[in-house]
Amino acid sequence: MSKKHEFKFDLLSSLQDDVIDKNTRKRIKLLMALEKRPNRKPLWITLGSVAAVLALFIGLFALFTKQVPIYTGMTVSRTAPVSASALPSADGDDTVQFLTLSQRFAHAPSNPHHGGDFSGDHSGKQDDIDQSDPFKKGEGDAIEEEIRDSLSVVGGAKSIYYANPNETVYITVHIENPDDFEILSFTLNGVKYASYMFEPGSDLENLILKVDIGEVEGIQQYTIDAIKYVDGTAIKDVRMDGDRTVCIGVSTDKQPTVTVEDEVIGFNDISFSVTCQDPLNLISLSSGKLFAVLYDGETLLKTVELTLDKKNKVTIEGLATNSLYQYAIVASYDALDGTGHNPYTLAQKAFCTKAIVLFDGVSIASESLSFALHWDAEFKKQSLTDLSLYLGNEKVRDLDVDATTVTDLQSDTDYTLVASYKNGVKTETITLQFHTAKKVTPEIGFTSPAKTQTSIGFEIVENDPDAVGVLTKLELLLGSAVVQDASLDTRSFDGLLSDNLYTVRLTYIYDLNDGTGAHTVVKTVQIKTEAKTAPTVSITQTNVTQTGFSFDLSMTDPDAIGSFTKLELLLGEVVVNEASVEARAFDGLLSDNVYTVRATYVYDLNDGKGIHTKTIDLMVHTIAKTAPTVSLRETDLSQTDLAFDYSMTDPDAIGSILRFDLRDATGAVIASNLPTEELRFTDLSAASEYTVVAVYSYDLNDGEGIHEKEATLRVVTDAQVSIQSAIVHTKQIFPNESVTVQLALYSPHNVTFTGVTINGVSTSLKNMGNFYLAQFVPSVQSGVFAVEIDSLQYTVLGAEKTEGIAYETGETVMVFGELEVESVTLSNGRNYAYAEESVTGLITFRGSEAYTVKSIGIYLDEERYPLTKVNDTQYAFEPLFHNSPYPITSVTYAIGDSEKTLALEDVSFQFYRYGSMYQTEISTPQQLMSMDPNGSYILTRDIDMAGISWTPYAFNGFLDGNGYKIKNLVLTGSMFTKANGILANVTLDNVSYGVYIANLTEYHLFDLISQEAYGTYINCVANAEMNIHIDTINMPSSYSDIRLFIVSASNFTYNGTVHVTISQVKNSCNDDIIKISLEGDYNGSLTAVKKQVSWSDYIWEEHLSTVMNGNGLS
Amino acid sequence: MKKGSEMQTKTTLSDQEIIELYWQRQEKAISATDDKYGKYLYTIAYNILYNRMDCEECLNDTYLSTWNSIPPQRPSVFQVFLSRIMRNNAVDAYRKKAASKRIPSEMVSSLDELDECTPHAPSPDEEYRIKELSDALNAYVQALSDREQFIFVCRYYYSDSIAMIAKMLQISERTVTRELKEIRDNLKAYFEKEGYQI
Repeated sequence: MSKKHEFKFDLLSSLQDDVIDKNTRKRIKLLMALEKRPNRKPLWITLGSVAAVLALFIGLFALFTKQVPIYTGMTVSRTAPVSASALPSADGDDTVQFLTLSQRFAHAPSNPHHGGDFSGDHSGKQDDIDQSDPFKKGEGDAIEEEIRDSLSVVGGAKSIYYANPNETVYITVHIENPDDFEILSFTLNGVKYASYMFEPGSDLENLILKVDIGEVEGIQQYTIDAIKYVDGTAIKDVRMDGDRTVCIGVSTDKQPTVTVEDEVIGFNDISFSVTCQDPLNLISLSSGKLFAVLYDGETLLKTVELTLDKKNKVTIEGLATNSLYQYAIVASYDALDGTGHNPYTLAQKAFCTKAIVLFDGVSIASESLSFALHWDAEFKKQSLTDLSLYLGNEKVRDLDVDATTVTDLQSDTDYTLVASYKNGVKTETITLQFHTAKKVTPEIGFTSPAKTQTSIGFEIVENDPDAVGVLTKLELLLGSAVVQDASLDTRSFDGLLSDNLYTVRLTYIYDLNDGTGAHTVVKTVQIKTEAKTAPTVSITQTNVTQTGFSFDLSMTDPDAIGSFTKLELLLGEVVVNEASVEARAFDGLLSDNVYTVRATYVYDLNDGKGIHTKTIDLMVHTIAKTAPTVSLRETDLSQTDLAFDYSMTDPDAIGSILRFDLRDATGAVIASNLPTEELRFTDLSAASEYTVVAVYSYDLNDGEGIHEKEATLRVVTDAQVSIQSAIVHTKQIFPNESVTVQLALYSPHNVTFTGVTINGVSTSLKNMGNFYLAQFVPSVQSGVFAVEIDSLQYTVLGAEKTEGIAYETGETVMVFGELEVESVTLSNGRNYAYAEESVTGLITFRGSEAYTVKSIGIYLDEERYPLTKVNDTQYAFEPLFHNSPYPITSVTYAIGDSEKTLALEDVSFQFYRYGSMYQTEISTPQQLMSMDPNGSYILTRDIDMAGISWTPYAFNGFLDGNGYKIKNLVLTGSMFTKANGILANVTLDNVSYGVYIANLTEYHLFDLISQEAYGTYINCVANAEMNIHIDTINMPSSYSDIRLFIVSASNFTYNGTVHVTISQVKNSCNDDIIKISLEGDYNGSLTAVKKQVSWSDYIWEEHLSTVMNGNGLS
Repeated sequence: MKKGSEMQTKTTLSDQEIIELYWQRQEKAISATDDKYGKYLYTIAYNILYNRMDCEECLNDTYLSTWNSIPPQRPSVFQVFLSRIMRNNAVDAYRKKAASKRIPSEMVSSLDELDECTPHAPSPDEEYRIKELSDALNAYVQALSDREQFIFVCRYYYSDSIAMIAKMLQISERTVTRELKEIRDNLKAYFEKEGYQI
């Protein structure tokens, strides 16, 4: 982002929160509305130009006859209306759905069965009514179906928009606003809502308002008032045509309930009291109603409207005796559950009107029934006129009217008992439907199956409480075939096959006396006998030799059913030996052959499959014998004779030498020797090739017979060679240098000379045509030795040979040993001399005893200094110049007439010659401060400069400290302005050096002794504290860095601390680096302090050269 | 559910409900936010970045920031809270991208419009003047009418295009352009009166 943009962006980002908040909300609202707003543009486009003209006219017309906006009503929705102009549809479809509340009533328990079942006109009849389906209609709630059909037309109540507590709903205010006046605000329940508070989706005809419904349950009313709009500049009221109030129901669990009590049931009537509880007045607020209805299973006999606010006494008469009816309390209202106005059953009950007589004490067994009669006490003639038993619709028995039991019934069967009595002149009947108890079906089965390899066992378990069954047959089957028809008490079978599946089958017959006749049950159990285990056989090799082997053969046979029948030895597929089954070894076999041992065994598993025959093989490889080998070697070989020897490797002792043949280069046998004779061939030709052949035989006992083999040895007889002459080219060498010898060699044969051994050192020969050159490095390190040739090496016919010669050349070689310079000194024992003093240089050698040292070379041998022998190891020379180092680069030494020059490295000598021996003595500070610039001085005592101001001056003369010190010198700059003379043995002690520079503009050098110190310093020391204070560094920017050099002259050692203080740095140079260098001999530390300038602005570097012992920057 | 609710195909949660979801650390908070405000947040980024992929990245960053800030925050005006995060993310993304090339986004042209009426950026040693300038600008914006203020914020804070502002307000683009010009002219006069050099 550019800086310009960044600034403006930051500026805009600093807009106050309330401005951003307000407009962001508005922006989002408008964007949402934009998305929902129908795009009207295409419509206008399709209308075309004619429509545009028409619209212009309409527009002009409308301009003069603007219509006042008219409020037409309010609608409520849970979501913001997708299109505000579309009215929310009625909640759900228009069908009034019957919602059951019948689950509020517990269903009556069904009649408990005592062995059998019964129903009908008995004394427990009232309790037997199935309240969920009293008229046995099967599905649905018959009375509720009926109520829905009858009451759905009652209607008249309003369906109310409902919402959940705390839910947000949208109230849409509908306005007819053909002229698109801007609607400003309206008041709802006394709260004023302005246009910006309208929800997205609002337009000029539909004002959407979001309303939080609150948590009060029940029906709430919203009333609109004072809808304002702008007509030009005037604010006016919208005409209020629509219903100003809209109701919103808040869903609730506090639904109406009723209490039914004081129920009295007579022969022909029922009465009860109903009280309605409706805490939220849902019924009255939704213009609903409450009814009591009576139903006989077919039609609603009676509908009584009840009051909501008090207890209602309901009496319904004219009912039939001993008959089933159902009454219900029904309310029609809006339950605020979103389904609108519906009828709800708040209570319902089925009941029977009272009867004259009922069966009582009914008890049913599987084949009998007992009962009593219960007469209504008010009824006089308590006797039956008829009592009959029916099976289905067929009368099966007339019973005595006083009977209280019925016997000889079938079990598990439906019967009906019909009793008749006289009620006045009318004959009335009561019936009892009953079901006799069922006899228990017996159960039978096998348990406890058992088995061995030859038998099976089992148990039979029978459960027959009513003793209706009997076991009739027991059989054993193998597969599907019956193998045994056993007695009924059999519980095991023996002598069976192993590993076979047997079936035991029983037949069982029972009769339940229920009219279905006798039943036959067949049960089986399958049991498999245990299997016998097939034996397993193992065979393993235990030992093998070159001629036989042994093995182990064993059988694992838990059921003892197997045995070995045969044991054979096979070579390949051929049986070579049939042995006893007890045999466990074979011998006399061939070596290195594969044999097979085959064992045959049989067994019977008693499983009906007969005898099994099996074999097992073991392959054994006999060990091979080892073929012998023969090797030949020559023991002596000359130009004419060959002696040789042989050795035979024969671990199995099966070989023998037949003979030795000598063959020439063509392969022809020219001589033979028996092994018993001397192993030597003679009368051979020199430099010729021969082959010795050893012929030998052996038998491996592997069936392949006797083998005959040869071993050979190739030899070449020696050639004739000799040395004709030898010349030694190198006569003088330093140790470990090589000597070159020229040789003339001769041979009549076709030989190649390859090497020579001289003085015990073997070396190669270089063929130069007419002669050969040999170079060797003698082992002699010093002195003279004679050159002797020991032997010659040559090749002939590819064979390498060495011929001992012992040839004396008669020539000698001189070896110059090592010579080292041990020291170079002055004869006065010092390293300096005074001007008047006569001195010589003394050079001491190591290893010079055997030689005469003649001279030394100085400066790359540009000049040679002759030496005068002092003793075997020390020689004197005349020093020619001084005050500069002498590099001694070579030394020349000799034995007799032979001399050599040896180059030397790192040998240097330097001495000083200075002043006069006749120096001026100095013993006071004043003398020290006023020395002649070219004079010669010597201290005779310590000079204490404490409290004495030192003025620098130039000194180019000679000052000898003579072991005394100059103490407590205070310097504000260098000690001397120039110091180009000689300072020797000068010690400056406790020097205080303080330099202040106000403005430093270039690299600067600080020196204790002199800014210009080109003199000579010998053994000088300063113990000084150096303080350098630079106020401002102001270097031109052309400098890449800032450098301070703090130097000591060569051989002038400074001990002490250097403090550098820099107050400020201006006009930084390119690198912002301050380098402080200590150059020269320092023993001490450097501390650098910079004030007023942040350290991090500069990188401090210590730049150290030569010696600096101590700490770095602090 | 009862019958009335079956009519609703999708539930738009209220801001408070969405914030509650964030507090309960339920991930559907993000999808609810996206359902309700995703499109509007997108327009904020698009005005600045002019690149679909970048905008979606910004949108995701915004949801992540929201997820990370609620809790502990409980923004009083959720949509404004989201808008601010989105704008900041978009501008950050813009900064990264615009380092290498100029992005021809609506933001650039809206900021360019302001050239004629805003003082030059103060030099670094005059940074204290930025605060002064910001106070002055706020005073000016506060004094604008609601509609002018809305247009100003849309154009220069959200970088909405003139066409978009016209659509939102149901007025013509020419009107928006004219009103913007007036706002800028007045702003220029205002700054000059306050002693700033344009």
